[in-house]
Amino acid sequence: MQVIKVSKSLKSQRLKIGLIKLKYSIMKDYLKSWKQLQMKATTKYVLKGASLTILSAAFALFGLVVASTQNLVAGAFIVIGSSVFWGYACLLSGIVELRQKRSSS
Amino acid sequence: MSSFWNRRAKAKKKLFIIDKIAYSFLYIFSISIFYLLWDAYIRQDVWIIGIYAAFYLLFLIPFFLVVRDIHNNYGDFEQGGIAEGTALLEGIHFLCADPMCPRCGGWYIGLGLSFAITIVFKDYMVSILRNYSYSQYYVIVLGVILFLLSTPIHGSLTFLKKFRQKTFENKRLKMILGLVSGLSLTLIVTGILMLTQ
Repeated sequence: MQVIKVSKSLKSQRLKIGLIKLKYSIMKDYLKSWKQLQMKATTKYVLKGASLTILSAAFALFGLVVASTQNLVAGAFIVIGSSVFWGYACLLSGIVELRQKRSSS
Repeated sequence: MSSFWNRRAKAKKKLFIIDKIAYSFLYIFSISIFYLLWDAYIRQDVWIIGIYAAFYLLFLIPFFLVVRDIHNNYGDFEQGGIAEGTALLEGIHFLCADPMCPRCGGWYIGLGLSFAITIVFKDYMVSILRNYSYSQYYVIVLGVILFLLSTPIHGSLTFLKKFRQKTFENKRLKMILGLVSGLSLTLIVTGILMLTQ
């Protein structure tokens, strides 16, 4: 009886391990398909730039609301801090130009 | 490609000025957020504490992504031997506040103007809009539409989208568009204030 029990538990363990392996393989395939779905470089950069500008505008809005309702100085500081994203969007345009020059030449 | 996690070891070798500027922006932002959190804690507004904490997280994640991106680009340029790229990242164009700059547009000047207008004329504008019984939703929607129309033309997106034509290379037009997009923020803020008051 004991031997049968052991074999049953072994079987169930193997089944479990097999299920986990199957799950991981499905996940891996999914991730691979995501990686293969590479966007065009220009659309990627445009999306990045647009999201950066929207982020910076959103934080500026937050700062303006804080400055007019809660505290003036804190709001001004938040507005200043929001310009990180705008500054990086400006830099990104320069970086993209350089990369395009390099790829075309 | 330099990874993000061994950034400190590499940063010891070469400290970017751009890195320092970005981190100083982070410190300024976090000082003000911590002050606001403390203020909300004293007034025991639990919801407002949550909102501030969410905004802080929303700032932190893209900030570290930006810093990682800068380092990755720098590493790429260094490996490829592009002197222009490394010079661009080592310079201080990040802090460019030139209203006529073709790349950055008039965003900063528009933002400053809208900040001043919202601080000074806030109550005046709200009372005028109330007198003429304009709904706050109209104001918010109008502001968002103005922002979406003006921002892609004056900022960095012109360079990214490659619709650089002669009209869009005009510096004065870009500055005016920057002012418009800054003033659209004022409209949105007055709409939000009308909602809250």
